[in-house]
Amino acid sequence: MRMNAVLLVSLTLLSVSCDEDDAQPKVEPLTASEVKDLDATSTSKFTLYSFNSGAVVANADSASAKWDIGFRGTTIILNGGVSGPGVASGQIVDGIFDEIVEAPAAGYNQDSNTTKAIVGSGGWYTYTGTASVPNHAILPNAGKVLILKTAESKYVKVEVISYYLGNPSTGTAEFADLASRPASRYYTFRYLYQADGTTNLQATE
Amino acid sequence: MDYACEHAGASKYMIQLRFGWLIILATSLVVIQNATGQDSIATKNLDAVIVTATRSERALSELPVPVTVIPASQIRNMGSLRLNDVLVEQTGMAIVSDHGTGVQLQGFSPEYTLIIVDGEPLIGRTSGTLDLTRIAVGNIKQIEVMKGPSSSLYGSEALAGVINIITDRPSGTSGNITTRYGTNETFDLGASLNLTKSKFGLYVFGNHYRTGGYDFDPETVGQTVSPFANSTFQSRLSYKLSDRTQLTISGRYFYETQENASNIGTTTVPLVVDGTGDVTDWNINPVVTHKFTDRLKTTFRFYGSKYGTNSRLTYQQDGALYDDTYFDQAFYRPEIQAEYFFNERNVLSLGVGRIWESVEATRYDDRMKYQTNYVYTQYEWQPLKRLNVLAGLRFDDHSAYGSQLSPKLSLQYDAAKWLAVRASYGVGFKAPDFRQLYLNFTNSTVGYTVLGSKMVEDGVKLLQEQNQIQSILADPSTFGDIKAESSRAYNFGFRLKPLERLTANLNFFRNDVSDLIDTKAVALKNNGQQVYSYYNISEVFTQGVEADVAYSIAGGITISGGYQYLDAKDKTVLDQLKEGTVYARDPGTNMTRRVSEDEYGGLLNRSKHMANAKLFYEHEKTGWSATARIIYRGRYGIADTNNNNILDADSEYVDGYATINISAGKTFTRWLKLQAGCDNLFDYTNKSYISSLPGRLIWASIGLTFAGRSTMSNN
Repeated sequence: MRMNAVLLVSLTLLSVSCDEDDAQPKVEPLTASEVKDLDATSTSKFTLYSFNSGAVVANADSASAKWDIGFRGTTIILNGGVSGPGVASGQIVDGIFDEIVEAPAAGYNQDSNTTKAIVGSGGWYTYTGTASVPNHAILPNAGKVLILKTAESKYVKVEVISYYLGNPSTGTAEFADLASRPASRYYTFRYLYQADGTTNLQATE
Repeated sequence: MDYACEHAGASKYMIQLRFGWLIILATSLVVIQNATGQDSIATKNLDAVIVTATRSERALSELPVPVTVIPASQIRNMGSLRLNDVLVEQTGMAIVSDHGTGVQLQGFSPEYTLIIVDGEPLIGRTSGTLDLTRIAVGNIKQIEVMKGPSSSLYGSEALAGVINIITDRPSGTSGNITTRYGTNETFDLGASLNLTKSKFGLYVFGNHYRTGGYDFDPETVGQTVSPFANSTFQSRLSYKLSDRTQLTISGRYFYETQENASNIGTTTVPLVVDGTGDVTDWNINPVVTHKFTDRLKTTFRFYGSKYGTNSRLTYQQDGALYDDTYFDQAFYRPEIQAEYFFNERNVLSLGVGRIWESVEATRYDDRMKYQTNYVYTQYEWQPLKRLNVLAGLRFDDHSAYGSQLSPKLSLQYDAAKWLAVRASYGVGFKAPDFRQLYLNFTNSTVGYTVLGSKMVEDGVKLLQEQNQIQSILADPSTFGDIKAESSRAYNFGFRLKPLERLTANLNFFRNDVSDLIDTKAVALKNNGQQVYSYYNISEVFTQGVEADVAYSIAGGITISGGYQYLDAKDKTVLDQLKEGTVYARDPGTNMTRRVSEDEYGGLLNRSKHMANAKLFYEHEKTGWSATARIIYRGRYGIADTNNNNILDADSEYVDGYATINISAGKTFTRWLKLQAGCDNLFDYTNKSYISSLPGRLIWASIGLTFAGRSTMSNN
């Protein structure tokens, strides 16, 4: 068994290196970006974001396909379905951000009246309530990666890292104390945007 | 989780608190008592007569199953008051708090250990825990703890083991009164009376216990453990109808009341509710034994018991009712048992019985009932002089969830005078309880709903008709019938006596548990809360080794030590870890990483290491006695804090700790005994995570004994 596994791995490595040799010049560098402390504190308007431009989109453009994703408190919307004029859809995939190298072919949902494509509680985050420490905290679930098809049908993978200003450690006494806990509704997330329309989400070195 | 509690909302806190301080009190007291007990057991009681293993009196040394016996003398020397005080000092037994004070055996939660008094089960569990502080120890002759499943004899609940409390029985004519006072205004008064006259015997026991509780956080409303008081009356009457026939009637009555206050508002805008809660339980147990011949002995037993709680909380501001809940449980069981002695080496027992159980409570639609018919058989066989075999089989047919077959086989081989080898295999089960079948509860403040498995289909349908359901998360019809939780258990061990004064016990155990009942969300309500129900899911195992050593030095000194290593894990989680699908966030950077298998700490609330060391001194001539006991509980998981539902991060553990308990006493002229002690000598507390462990407790007691003719032997 072990022998076979080793053999298999070597073969795979071999074929990968062959591919790389063949496809040398045409790969655009693909790297993950991190957005720090995106302000989602408004209680009325969503903070809209475009992965293509890598910037916040003005609310005046909310009726366009210029934005892909919107944040307001713990609610995440995608530009499609009931949330916007675009065709954006998405799903939550279990795994580690760096290890997800290919977007799934199917399983994407658009926002509907009853459920958002990116489910909040039990989806991308857990509200701790009083059952566990720290109390009353929004903690992004580990191993949950958002795979989205943007308003322009491009694939992007997103991981929410923090919901609090400054991406604080959530294990400290300072965080546990509601009086000294940093402000909430500030998103830190990382994403990798594939502009060529393929499902390849593997970062280049 | 809150919804697991069978009692209604607010009373839960009360119960928890009450238990908490009881535990504390009991712990300190018990610590003292236990230490004494264990030493004596290990040394003097190798040939103690026990009944738990066979339901008849048998010599401990001949039984092929691991049984710990804690005699009254130990309990008294330690100064224990409640059962949890005694058990906390025993090897491999952790006292845990979950809606009451329960005991963990071989890594199993309290709901999997059957607690019986003179062979009959105590009823009244809250969220699975039977509160051990309900049991006074002043009238206990000995406590027998049989580890490993015994469903082959006792049926449901005897999955981790059985704790049998053997109470005093009428002998001679004597009386005793003992009173004690200690820290936290804890007062205990106990009295017993023994009367025997030719064919007639009577034993009466009464106990009153009262404590002011304690408070770790005086700034908040309500105490960590609120004041409570309880009373216990127990009696046993025996009458010899003929040389071959004896009648015994036992009865017990218990009543407890506790004050309660809590803040349901916020720190800045308090909203205080307060009130009282009470617990009542009673039972009656007439037994007739008749010897048809010298070889055929029969026992006719009837057992009836009731348990009830009431809790009423009102707003302090205006006296308006906040919560009023009740819980009533009843249990009736007739049973016939016959034993046939073919010869000294072959004994066959046969038993048949029926159990009626019912519950009526705020959280149930109607009075819920179920019945169990059962039959069991047991064969004790000594094929060789050095080999003892005990084989048992029981069949339970339950009206609500189906039937269960529980076999058990145990062997003991006396390899040498100083060495006995024991092995056993058994199947244990725990029937789904009323809560898991019939609960219909909606939390009024938070808004979630919990439905028993029999209620879920109709319950969800009704909520849908009322337009309360946003989406269905799991098909309610798939919840259907839940099965009994069951366990296959292996025990293997040695009993050693390498020196005249040195004894040792070693036991390896492994329990494979399947169909553990868990809760799962069925539907999402419009208020954002979920509807939960019960279903069979988890497979877990517990395994480990337990060791006890005792050495008695001349002059009445005994030293002993005990240790348990425990490994208790969820097999589903282990599979996920192997697949690499469990993740955690780095507490510093919040980046996700994969959790490896060796980071998994297993089930919550289990200590990998537990140990004790004890010293007992008893000098009959001078009447002096003394004990010193160190009880260590290794670190254990308290909660998942890094949000991946398993125990893995260091911050998810409670530190290990040790408590030291001491006691000393002197008996004057055989009728007066003075005793004093200190539990938790170094005042160890963990206010955030172990609210059930009070600080240092100092106590003193006076006991008077009056004896008639030739009755001093009783203890």
